[in-house]
Parts: sequence; structure tokens; C-alpha cells
Amino acid sequence: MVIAALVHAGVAMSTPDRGPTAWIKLRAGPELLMIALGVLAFAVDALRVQSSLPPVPGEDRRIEVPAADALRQTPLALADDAVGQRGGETETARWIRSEVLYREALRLGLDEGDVIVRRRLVQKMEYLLEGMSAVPEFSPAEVERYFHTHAERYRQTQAYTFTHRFFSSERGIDAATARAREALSQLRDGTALAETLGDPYTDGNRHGQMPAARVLQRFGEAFLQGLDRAPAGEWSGPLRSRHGIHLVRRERTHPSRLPPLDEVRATVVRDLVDELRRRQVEQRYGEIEARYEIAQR
Amino acid sequence: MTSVVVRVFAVVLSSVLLVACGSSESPQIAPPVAPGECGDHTPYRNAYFGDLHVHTAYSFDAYLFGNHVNDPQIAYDFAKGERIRLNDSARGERYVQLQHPLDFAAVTDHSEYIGEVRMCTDPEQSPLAYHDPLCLQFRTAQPGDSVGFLVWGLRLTRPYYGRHLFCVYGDCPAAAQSVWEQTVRVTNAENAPCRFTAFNGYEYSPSSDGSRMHRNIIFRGNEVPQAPVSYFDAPEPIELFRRLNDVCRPEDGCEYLSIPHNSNLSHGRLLWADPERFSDPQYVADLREISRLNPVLEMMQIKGASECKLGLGGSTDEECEFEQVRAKPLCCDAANGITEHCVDPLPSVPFRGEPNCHEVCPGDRPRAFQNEPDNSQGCLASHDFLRGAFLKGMAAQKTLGFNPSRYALIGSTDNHNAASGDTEEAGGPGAVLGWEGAHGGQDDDPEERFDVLTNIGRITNPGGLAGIWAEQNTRESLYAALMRGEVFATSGTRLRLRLFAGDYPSGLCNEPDERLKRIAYEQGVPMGGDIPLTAAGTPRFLVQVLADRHPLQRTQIVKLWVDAQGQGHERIFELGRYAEPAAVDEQCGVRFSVPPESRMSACHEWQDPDFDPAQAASYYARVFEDRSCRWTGHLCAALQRSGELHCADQPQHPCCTSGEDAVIKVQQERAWSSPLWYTPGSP
Repeated sequence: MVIAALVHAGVAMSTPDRGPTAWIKLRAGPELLMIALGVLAFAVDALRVQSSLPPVPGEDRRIEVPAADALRQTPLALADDAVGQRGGETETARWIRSEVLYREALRLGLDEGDVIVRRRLVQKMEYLLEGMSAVPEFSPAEVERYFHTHAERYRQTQAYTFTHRFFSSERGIDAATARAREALSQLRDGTALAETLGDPYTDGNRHGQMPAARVLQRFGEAFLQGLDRAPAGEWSGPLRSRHGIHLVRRERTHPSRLPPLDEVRATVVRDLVDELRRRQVEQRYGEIEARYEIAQR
Repeated sequence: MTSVVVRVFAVVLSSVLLVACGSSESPQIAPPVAPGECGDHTPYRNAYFGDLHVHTAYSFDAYLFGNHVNDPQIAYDFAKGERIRLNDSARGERYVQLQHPLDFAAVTDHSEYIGEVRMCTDPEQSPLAYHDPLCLQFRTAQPGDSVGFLVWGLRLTRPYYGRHLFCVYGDCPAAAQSVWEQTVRVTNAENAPCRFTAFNGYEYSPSSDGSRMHRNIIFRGNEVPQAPVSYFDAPEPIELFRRLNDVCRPEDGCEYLSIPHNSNLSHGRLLWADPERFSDPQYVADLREISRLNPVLEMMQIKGASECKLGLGGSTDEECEFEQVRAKPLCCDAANGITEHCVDPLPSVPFRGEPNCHEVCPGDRPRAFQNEPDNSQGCLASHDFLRGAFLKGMAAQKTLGFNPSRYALIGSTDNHNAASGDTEEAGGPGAVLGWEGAHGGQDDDPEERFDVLTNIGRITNPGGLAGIWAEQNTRESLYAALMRGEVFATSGTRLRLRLFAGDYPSGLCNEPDERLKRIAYEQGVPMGGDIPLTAAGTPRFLVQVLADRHPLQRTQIVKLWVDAQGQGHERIFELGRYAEPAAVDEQCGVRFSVPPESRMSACHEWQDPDFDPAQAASYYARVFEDRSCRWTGHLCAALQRSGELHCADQPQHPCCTSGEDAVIKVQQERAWSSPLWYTPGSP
């Protein structure tokens, strides 16, 4: 069984890919045992799917079917089998069909050299590599260094604090624009208070430190352009958004800023740990790769 | 996203240039912000959108669906707008990213098995458990492997099964505690007051005989129990709440609420209050406690909407058939009053072992919990949907003095790929239980696409979102809104919806905004509240709507009441119809009947023409966007665009046929407000 598994694994690994020709030969050495054990664990895992069958496929042709009750009781019933449903087929029949086809596929060796099986094994290995690395250690100085070398990542984007009045375009954009223009002249003349103008707006009328990206998301590009150019502390417009027409008063533009480390330390530490972890994985991979002789043509 | 960044950059750049050109600006002093207040704080409340139901690789089913990597950190990264890789699909790498970040999220992994999943995937926990055959099977199961679900899911169906046997090799509860601590640590670190709220939470997942009895527990702050209370600790809901009350006490700073969901798959059990036991004081006390701790219902998510079902409880509302997971027809059953509407407008969908038509639970009551082992045979009760639950709650109130089914409404996703709030239709349901083929246009496997369209995948959807009206984006403010019910559900869109009722003058919709909102709050109540008796005798309702991407099509109010004979009634009032539904073509192109710019916002005042001060009633608003492609429509369009599908050659393909196997390709996204309640005699 061990030999069979190793042979399977070996075949999968040395199957040339569709890309540039590259293949790998195992280099004899004391590490061989370690690799063999690792590969064996995976081969066994991969083969022991679906049931507690003996892991050598094709030899045992006995299928033990779970009780119908147990089969039907799958509570997360949204799950479905790979086997398509045929009319009138019982759950048990579907299960048996899937089990028979699966075993037969193994018997015929269809898992070997299959790109999907290969990809899945590779992904499992990547996952194991991540799981095997310990939580990396680091010093406060490293955190600081990381923060300074990646400062741009922590920069806060430009934001705006502003108020707006809304004019519904229910009766068309032109009508709303005309009403907004009239309101603007009243505001400029001082003949009306802002709070007494405009139509109800479902969401807020004043936004504090709204990042530019969010202004864009909520009100659109034309609005953001207009807001950015609006004179501070004065009513201006009309500006068009997805919802209708607005007058705006930009109170303040908050320039993009780099926060001090203490403000974002938790995020920086997290990113640093991610980075260290990635490095550990790469190092581990490097160690494994070094055990192979890679011959490129 | 790239174009957004570029545009923002262009604007920022232009502003820099303006400054450089010498357009100096006098320093402006922003109105003072009180300590603890965010920049956008307003007593009139802002709408925030988020997802309070997200699973990660720590959930046993998410792992079995193929999500082995995306953990709580990734769920929050995604919610905040970062691009993430989807689970380790057999079809290689795929990435998803939200078009717009969320305002809040909660990772709610199944509390059942969080320790076991760790022991099966981390050899350092216990080598013996790690190499247990169950763990080997778990790690190697292919996505959707039914044996895995059988082995793991079975133990959630009956309390006496208990934990997995391999828990004797290692300490499963201790492992659970360490995973929980890890989730809590990440959640607390990701919570950023005023910018993004992250709630601690988990899902309690009993599935007695296959009936979903699932609830999400959401904690208010940093203080949480040492470990989640799971089905293994508390098989009955009241036990869950007793245990939680012991380990999460307000005097220690710990507060929680519970959000039931998927009542549509609970076979009459999740929202059931048994009138035959109303004379039992202990039963009534338990109902009251459960009601107090469960203020909100998640009525829209990946596994369908739980608003109502055509034909059930006498409903004649065609819109009830929106996103029904149990889409088969109701049996014509004269004894239960099902004589019409028993033919479902949806074509039949293959659904493992489903009966030919749904059976109404006998007497509209759940069957006994025992001896009903078959999930697929589970019946439907009217209170599996919120309308029936509200009606029965109002009827019970006459006896109990309180409504045991008084819920505010939210949507969420139930995404199992850690893709919080990924409700994008064009990308396909990102979540559905790891049906990777559900990834519409991003999927590269034609066979899988076909499978999704012909199989269970097609009756699921990308899930909904929770809308919350709160003063600011902090845990305290959002949690308070959930408790008072000033929240709303959407089918995934970010449509903003307000509902008020009170002693209002007419003409409020013509008033400027501040005045409207001040009067709305001062002389009335927002959604979730109790309608006060008014001097005029008849309350006035106010509905305000702001569109998201698609223009609005119509706005309704649904009224529910129970007459003196105990009979429940529903009536739907149309407040506004802005256009006839648009025409949508095979390529998802939309031809509007009325220009969209004229219906991007709406405001309505309304009075109930049949209002009777002596009659209790409940009212909620429902708003429809104009038609757009459902995820299936986008998928069909993509298949045809890429040349993989020619309807001329494959007239029977689900995308092409109009017969039995056709998929629903067009939909109207919508939002539901939480209800307002009127009770005669209440102050």
C-alpha cells in the first residue's frame, strides 16, 4: 500500500504540465524519508475519501450502504451530490451510484494525472505549509520599521465635511435645477435660511469627514468634483447626483494625512505578522524545493 | 474599483493644483463635535448597511463546502473593501471584492464544532484526534460531499448524539474556547468607531430533525462569554438563553441579542408559540424571555425570503413568491383552506427528495419534534413566514398581554466564503454554501454553470443586507437601533427606506428636510415602534425612500390584523407607482418605461382608510426597485456572450427554454421596513 501510494504521488508530481517543460527528479538523501512520510500522509488522505473503506481502491468491491434513515437525515440538505438527479431515484440509490462510480474511478486510476486532483493536492499542501508555521516573533522596533517602509498603506485619504440641500428630480432634472438656482439666490441674498429650503432627503444632510471615495459612491463623480471646488463656508451649486440636484456648503476639506503609528498600531502589527508568516511559508517551501533537482529545458 | 481610485485621485489632484494656483481658503471651523460623537452624528439618524451573518473557515460546513482558508480576519478585510481569494476551488483561483465597503459586519461561525474543526485541521492540538478517521475524512472531503454533512450534521439533529468520539483524545471545549478567543480578538481589533463596526457574534445551530432552528447571537461590546453556548450545551432555545444570561450579564458589561433566521425552513418550529400552553405560567414566562431577547428577524438571506408564501394563510400576494427556496407548489388542500394559488408560478426545481408539493402542517402547527426524521418531508406552517408569525403573535397578545412574535426585520447573507455582504448579482451568489459554480460570470467551467442553473443553486440567491438607522456608526448606536427596531431588510441592494407614524400635519413631504425629520421624530415614532393614539384619531404614515443603483418602481404598505373572530387578514396598499416595470432583454439590457432620474427618491404620506382605533394592527412598508437581471440572468447572458451557449442549438437549456425547466432571470430588488404596531389602549 505504501509503495502504491508513493508511486501514485510520484506519478502525479512528475506529470509534465501543459506549460514550459519542467520536471523534477527526487534526489536521494536522508530527507527522503521525511518527504515520503509527508507525501504518504497526503496520499492516504486523498484516497480515504467518502467512507471508511480500506484505502487500497479496486480490491475491495464490497459497499456498505448506511441506513436509509441516516442518509436522508442530512440536515444541511442543500448539499448535493456530484451525481445528477434522475427522476424517481431514491437517496440511497444516488448514494450507491456515487460510491460505485467513485470507486471505479479510483480503480481505473482516473485520479492520477488529473489536473483537478493535482491542483487540490497542491492547495492542501500550501494550506499545510501555512498551518505548520508558528506565530512569528517580532520586536517593537520591527513594527516601527515596517510602518515607515509601508507608510503609504496607512495614509488616510482626503475627506470632506459638508452640508447639502436636496431638490428632487421627480418632475425632471431641469425643474429641480431651476428650483435649486432660485434657492441659491435666496441663500446668497440672505432672504431664506438653508433649513427652510429644498425637499426631504431620506438620508443625512450633513456629513462629517466623509472620505472622497465614499462621496463618490454616494453622490457620484460630478458631485464630488463640484464639492471639491466649492468655496469653503458658502452655498454653491447646483450639483447633480444619482438622486437629483443639490446645493452644497463645504465646511472643510480634510487633507490626506499619515496617522501616527500609535493610531494604527493594531493594523500595522497584523500586517507585519502576515508578512512574517508569508516569509516563513516561503522559507519552508524553499527548504522543500531544495530537496529536488529541478532541470529546465 | 480601479476607476474609482483614479477618479478620486483626479479630484484630489485638481484640488492640489487649485491650491497651488493660489486660491487660498480661510480656515473654516467645523461645528463642534461632542466627545464620543462621530463627524456624521445626527439625532435624525443615518442609514448604515452591513451583514450580521457571515461564516468563515471556522464553521464546519464552510470547511466542508471547500472554504479552508478564509477566516474572520478575511471576512472583515472583505467587508472593508479589500479583494479576497475565494476558497480553494478545484477550478483554481478566483477573487471577489465589494463594489462599496460595508459599514458594519459580524462574523457568526457555527458554535457547534468550532473546536472540532480546529482539532481536525491543526495537528498540534491533538495528534490523535488529527489522525482520527473522521478528521481525515473532514480534511479530504470534496466540496459538497454529502458524507461529510451526514457525519457532522447528524449530531445537530438530536441532542443525545453529543460530540464527536474523537473528543476523548483531546479537549474539544477547550479548543472551541481558543478559537472563540481568536475570533473575538480579531473582531475587537477590526471595530473602528465612526468608520466600521464589527460585532462579536456566533450562530447557535440546532437542526432538530432537519428543521432549521438557527439564531445568531450578537454581543453589544467587547465583553463576551468565555465560550459560546452551543447546541451541545443547550439543545432547547430557552436553555440557550438561560445559559447565556448566566455567562453574559449586563452588570459585567455583557449584553446580547438573538436573531432567528430561516424560519422558512423550520417546518413550523422556529417561531412557534403554542396557544394550548398559554395557561402554563412557566411556558409563558419562557416565551416572554425569548421574545425580549429576540427583537430582530433575519427575513432575507441566501436560503430565501421569509416574508410570505402565496396561498399559505390565504395570501393572494404574488410578490410572496420572490426568492422562495421551497418553491414547489402547495398541495391543494381544502381542509386547510388551500383551494387557490396552489399552483406555484415557479417551475419545479429538483430539490433532493422534495415531495411533489408542499404540505401544510396539520392544523398549521408544527408536528411533534420526534418521529419526524425526514427533512425533505417537513411541512410548511403560516408562521414560517413573518406575516403568519405577526398575525399569530397579535392573536396571542389578546391572551398573553404581549406579542411573542414581535420582530424588527433585517436581511443578511449567510455567506460561507467569508465574503461579508457580497450581494452582487452580476457575480452570482458568492456564498451559497460554497457552490463555486454559482459564481456566474467569474466561473470558467461550463458544466458547473449548467449544474448551477439546473440544480439547487438556482433557487438560492446572493443574500440580503441589514439597514440600520442610527445616530452614528458605533457599536452602541447600532445595537440600540437593533433593540428598538429602527432597522430594515433589503434583498441585497442599498436602497434607503424610512417609515414613521404619528400625529402629523398633512403636507410633510413638501416641507424642508430638517422640519420633516424633526416633526417625524417628535410627533411620532419610527419603524419598530408603537403607533401612539393621535388627537385626530387616525395616525398619519410617512414613507421616505432613496434609490440605490436601479430606479424605484413602486412603494406599498402591508397591513396585518386579526379580527374579533380570531381570523388573520392582510391588505396591501399602493402608495406610489412610479413606472410600469421595465423590459429586460437577454443581455440584461434594460428599457425603462419612465426616465430613471424622475424616480430616484420618493416621499409619501398615507392614512389607513379603514383605521379602527379599537382594532390592533401592524404595518410595514415594502419598496420595489425597477426590474433588473437576477444572478441567473447575468449567468445566462454571460454564457451566450462567450459563445458557449447558442439557444438555437440547445433550446432545452434552462437559459433558453420557457418551459418547466426555465430559470427565473429577471427580478425586482426590494426593501422591507420593520413594522409599526398599533395596539388599542396602549399609551
